[in-house]
Amino acid sequence: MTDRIVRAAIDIAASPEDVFQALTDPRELAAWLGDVDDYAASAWTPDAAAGAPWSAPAIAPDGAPGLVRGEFLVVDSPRRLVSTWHASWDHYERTIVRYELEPIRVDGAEGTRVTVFHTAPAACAQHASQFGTKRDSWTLMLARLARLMTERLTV
Amino acid sequence: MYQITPMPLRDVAQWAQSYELFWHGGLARLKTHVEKGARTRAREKKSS
Repeated sequence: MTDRIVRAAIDIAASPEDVFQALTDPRELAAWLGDVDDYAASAWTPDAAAGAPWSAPAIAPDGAPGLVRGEFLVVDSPRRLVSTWHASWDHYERTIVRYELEPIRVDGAEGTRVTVFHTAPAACAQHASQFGTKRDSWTLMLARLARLMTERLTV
Repeated sequence: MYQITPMPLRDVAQWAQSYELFWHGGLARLKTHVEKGARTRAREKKSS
C-alpha cells in the first residue's frame, strides 16, 4: 500500500531564498504557522541543518491553537526541505513534510512556486496492518463458508 | 450476518481532508508573511 500524501502549492512574489528562510527559521515558522503578526525580521537565526529540531505554535485544521515540532531531515537551500512533522492535534504522530521550491516569475518579478507534500507513512502502515488483519479474517471466514457449503451439499 | 467496519478508510480520508485545509491556509499565510518581508526589504533598500 502506498503512503497517504496531501499536496498543496502556491506562487509567492519573493525569492526562493526568502521563502526557504521562512520555512526553516523557528521564529518565522511561528509567524506564519501560528499567524503571529508581531514577528520582527531582524530576529532571524542561523540556517537550519539536517538533524536540527524545531518547534512552533500553529493553528490546527479546526482553527484552534496547537503546537508542531519536528526535525529537519534534508536541508537543501533554497530548493528542497524535508522534515518530520509531529502535531499536537495528531497526538504528535510522526509524519513527513517535504517542501519543493521552484524559481518562477510572478508579475514579471522574481518569485517562487512552493509545493508541499505531507506524507503519513505511519498512519498508512497502521491502516495497512488493519486491512491485512481484516483481509485475513475474511479469507478464513470464506474458507469456513466454503467448507460449510461443501459439507451441506455432501450430506 | 457480517459487518464491515469502515473506520480505517474514514480515518485516512479525514486526515487528508484536514491537512488539505491546513496547508491551504498555511501556504496562504506563508505567502502573506514572505511577501510582506520582501516588500519591507525592497523599501529599505530603496531608501538607503
